Amino acid sequence: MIGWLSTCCARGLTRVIWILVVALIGTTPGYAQSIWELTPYKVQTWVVLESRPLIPLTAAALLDRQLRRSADSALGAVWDLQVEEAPVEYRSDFFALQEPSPDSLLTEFPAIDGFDKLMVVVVVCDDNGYRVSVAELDVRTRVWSAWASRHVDTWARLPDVTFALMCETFVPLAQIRRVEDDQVTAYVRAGALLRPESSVRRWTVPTEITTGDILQPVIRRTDRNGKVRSDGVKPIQWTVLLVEEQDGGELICKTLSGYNQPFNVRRSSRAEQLALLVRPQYGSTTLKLTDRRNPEQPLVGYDVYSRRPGVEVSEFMGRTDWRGLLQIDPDEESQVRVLYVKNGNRLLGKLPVIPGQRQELTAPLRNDDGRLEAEGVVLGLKENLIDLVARREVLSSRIRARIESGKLDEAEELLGDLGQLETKDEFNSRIDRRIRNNEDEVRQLINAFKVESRTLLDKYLDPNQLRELQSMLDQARANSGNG
Amino acid sequence: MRPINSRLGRFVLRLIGIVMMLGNTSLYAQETKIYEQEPYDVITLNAANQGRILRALPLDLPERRVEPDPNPNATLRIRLVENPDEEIDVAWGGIEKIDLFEDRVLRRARQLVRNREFDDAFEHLGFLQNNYPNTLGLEEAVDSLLFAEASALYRERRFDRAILLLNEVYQRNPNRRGLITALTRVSQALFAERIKNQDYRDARRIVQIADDQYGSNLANSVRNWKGQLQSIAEGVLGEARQHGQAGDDRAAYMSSRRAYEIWPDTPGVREMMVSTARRYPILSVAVSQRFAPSMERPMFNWASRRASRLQYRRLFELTGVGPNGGVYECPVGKPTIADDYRGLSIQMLELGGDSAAYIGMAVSRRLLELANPERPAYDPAWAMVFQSLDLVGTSDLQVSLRRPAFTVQAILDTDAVSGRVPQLRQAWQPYMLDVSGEATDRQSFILNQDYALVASTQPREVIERDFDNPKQAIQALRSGEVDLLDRVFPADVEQVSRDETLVVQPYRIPSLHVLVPNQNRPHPSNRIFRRAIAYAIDREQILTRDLLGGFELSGCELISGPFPLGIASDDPLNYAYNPNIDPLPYDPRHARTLIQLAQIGLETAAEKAKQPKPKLDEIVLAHPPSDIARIACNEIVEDLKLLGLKCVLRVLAPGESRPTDDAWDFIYVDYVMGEPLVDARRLLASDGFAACGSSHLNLAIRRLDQLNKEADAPERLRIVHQICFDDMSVIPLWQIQDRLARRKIIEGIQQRPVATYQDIEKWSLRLEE
Repeated sequence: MIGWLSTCCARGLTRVIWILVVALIGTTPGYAQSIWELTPYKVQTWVVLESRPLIPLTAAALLDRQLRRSADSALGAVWDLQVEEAPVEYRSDFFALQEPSPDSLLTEFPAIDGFDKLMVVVVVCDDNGYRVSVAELDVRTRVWSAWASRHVDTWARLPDVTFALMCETFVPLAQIRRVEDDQVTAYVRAGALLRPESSVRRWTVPTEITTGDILQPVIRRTDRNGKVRSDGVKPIQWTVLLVEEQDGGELICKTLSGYNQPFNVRRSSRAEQLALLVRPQYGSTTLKLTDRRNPEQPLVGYDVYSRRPGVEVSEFMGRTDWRGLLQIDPDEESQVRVLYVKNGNRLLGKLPVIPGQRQELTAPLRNDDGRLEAEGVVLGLKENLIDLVARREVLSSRIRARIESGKLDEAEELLGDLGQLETKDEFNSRIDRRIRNNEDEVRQLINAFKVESRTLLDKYLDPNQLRELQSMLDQARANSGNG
Repeated sequence: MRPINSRLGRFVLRLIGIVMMLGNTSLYAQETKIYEQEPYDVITLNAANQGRILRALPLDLPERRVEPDPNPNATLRIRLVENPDEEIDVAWGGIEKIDLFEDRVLRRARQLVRNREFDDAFEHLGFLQNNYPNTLGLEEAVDSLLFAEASALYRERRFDRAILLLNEVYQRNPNRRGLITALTRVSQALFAERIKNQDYRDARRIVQIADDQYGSNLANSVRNWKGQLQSIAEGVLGEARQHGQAGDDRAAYMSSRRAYEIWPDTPGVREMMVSTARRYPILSVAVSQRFAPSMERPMFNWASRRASRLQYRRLFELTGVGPNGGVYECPVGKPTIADDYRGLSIQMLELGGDSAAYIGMAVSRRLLELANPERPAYDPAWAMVFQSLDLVGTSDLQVSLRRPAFTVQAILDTDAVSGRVPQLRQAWQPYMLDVSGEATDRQSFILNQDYALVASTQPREVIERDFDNPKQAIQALRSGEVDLLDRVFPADVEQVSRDETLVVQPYRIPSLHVLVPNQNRPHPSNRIFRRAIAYAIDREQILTRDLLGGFELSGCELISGPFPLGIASDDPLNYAYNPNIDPLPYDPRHARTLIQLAQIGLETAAEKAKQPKPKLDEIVLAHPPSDIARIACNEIVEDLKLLGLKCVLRVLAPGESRPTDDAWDFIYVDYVMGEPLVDARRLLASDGFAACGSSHLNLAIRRLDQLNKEADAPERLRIVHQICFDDMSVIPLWQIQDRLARRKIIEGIQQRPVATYQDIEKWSLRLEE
């Protein structure tokens, strides 16, 4: 550790006083502040420095000092920051901007579990100065952020740029305490430690959560010993929280989810519901639809529509390609898009997506192709039936009119046309042919149509209709002969 | 699936309501003209009967003529319009005069002629010719109409139309007073106009017509005109000789050919043309549709299908149809397809040096571009099957496919090599389009001497000329102005076939003609509306009467779907066509019912979506600038007019197959389908030409991609046909087996080619003729 012991006593005391002051004379009694909101983020920072003449030998100590000073000055009590050099085991990975898996890292360095955040700062020399890169591991949720990098011309500016990058990479965390229908109340970690808005020292940094932000809810389960199991942290799939109100550290959020009850976890002291601020990192997200029974099978040609939260109108985004992929671009007016996946007329899934949050997002859905195929066949048959009924009715009506006006030859001709139209038996044969030509799943559905449409066929394709018209005509001929 | 019985039942009831409402009403709703009224005659009684006027149903008079001096005691039996069931007798002695219905129509027609309302007058006289041909003065009235309209047109300087009308008068009554003077004046104006515009071909046609039809009546004018044309031709021939002496063979040929076109009987012109053509063989082609470079796939544009073969070689080119489907040629090498259809190898062509390696690299790069979604050339159909490739040695390209591809050649009917190395690309361009030419009615393709497969005998240049109408093109072919006509208008095939100096050859694959709806507009995107349009078009009549001219022509039939019916019942090409589906009949009444239904559906949907109700003010029908499309679309407009639908035509620019804007409802498209298994996607899929939105159809097309057995292809394609028919994704019209006609001087043309210039490397011109 670098220079940390030398300063910890003085800083620790300052922090405790801060906490007490805020806890005892808090100026915002509107919500009950808990230890969660009064506890600063414990942030461990690992610095990785390239061994080059341009980087001073005292660089690590220098960074330690300056980063802590910046944190104290800019964030007050929100961060409890420690800085040290990264363990040698991970240096090469970090130089390559590759992050180790959270589980292996925590197994090898269990002390990290005592922190809320691990931030990795990598400094290398580039053509005209330095390149500093920062990534953050949220220890509670085991989630790495993406790397953020920036070029710095001079060493003197490096600490400030590094601190700014740390703030940008930092992902605030909230604890979900209340879930009512589609509304969630959550509390931001160290939310009570933020300087009041009236404070001249308040610094608006991207470490806060504000109205309009999007949060990703996560369930964290621990064992009896309070240890997180290897599969203990899971994001709640296809669910995001939209912050609608923010009052100090309290957040009122609207739940946007593909599920009816996304938070159906049994309440337990060992299951914690958390939420992380989402910051899109990529230009877009590629959505991949797969068959949930056979994940290797992409769902091709499925229609994807998008809606903004709270808006009724959908916009057609496109159709998945032969790989089941569709690129989802960000919407200028809303960070979150609620995607509706349809196959034909059937809605198969509702997927809230934050474009750019991830490069690729896989959604396993029900393969609906068999039903769609049957829908197509039945729709075709229905329309054929409509045509047939309508044409029969028009012809019958014209025949009657001709008979009434004494134009019997014309009526005879039209009667011939009527006789040419498909009969009930022929139409039934057509349905049977479509049943034969299809696979089992489709057959069953066409068969159902056949059964259901039997009454209609009897009523509207009645073979007696032709006979009645023929006898009307015969009668008219006889009358005209007698006349 | 929800029960459909009650919903469908309600729908049928609503439908029947509409049917009953519309069923017996007339299809027309226009202003009633005199001849459209119920006919009656007017009898005026004499003063002794107080001069009363009686309106009677048409009198039963011999030949509908009123006797000049009837017996006054005799009676005339009449039925009054007001009381048609009662017959009454009127003594001839009490009748002052009788005004027959047809005489009133004739008087109205004369009035309209005086008012210069010629269209209306023509309709009145047409009615009389059809229904009362014995009307006194009718023929004279028709002559007067024609003459008066011709005079009006002459004053408007519309000489073309004027001469047509005067010619009609000449055919009816050559001795009409003033006719020869008028003919001379109009012909002279027309001739002078053509000479001024240097349109010598048309000027010659005027001379020809005048000579053939009016003989001695216009002899002086004809002599004068012939002299003028010959003098101009002699001047151009002089230029040709100068070019020849200067060693410019191309210019010499062009000038001699031009002189020949101006006046073929000019002394020495034919000899000059043949001698220069031997040194610089030029193929002159009359084309039915002008070519323009386009990024679109050639299969949807006749001119691109024809001329793309001159412009660029493709990796696989369809050249015929064998017992197992399409026969393909690969110009860049010798292809072999693996027995399990999971691999393709191409042994690259050896043209000396490192050519095979270069070609191999260029083809490999092309195949990789086609599979890369980031590249503009990306083709999902290829990406779906492509797995990897390897250039073994330097010239053996091995391609592995991820699943069996039964029609890999059809998928790779695409540019042969990557365009990223211009020199390599140029090696596969047989001809270069000469963009320096100023003539608006012709385009030159000049042989590229760097073309990899250039042959010494093939034409050095191909000149494509477009004509205003099919008759002119045939005339140019007969007179030797052109050597080949790429597409004979179907109705002219019979007549051209009888000409012994010409050879008519059918193309192997018929063209399929459909209307493609614009799925971005409310009405065409509605499947009930599309079905209405299909019922509204009298396809049988348009094909047999307007396109085939009443002749029977093999390979030309109505179709019910997007696939070829083939040119015979055993044609392997017809494997995709579903023979159980008949084309929809012509039923304008049902069409009208369906239009109402579609409108109700659209309005309900708009109301639900809180959008304004869609209105159908007019239908915009776009079509390519070809004679077949123009004539067919004009008839379609008439058919739709019958339903009260206003339809306007929009002519596409050359090279444009599908407008980039949305200001159209349907496009008339003709295309060829060599391999339905691949072409179905190119035409119908949501990312295909027709951009069909139907999920059911797109699913059926995707199922084609998943075929594991070749034997399943026909059944799968017939399902696509059925769904396409149910959805009317494209409105099927007819297939036409097109024919080319050529002079016998062209040798080496395949008996039944797929494309016009197929094998042009093997062509030669026998110029001794």
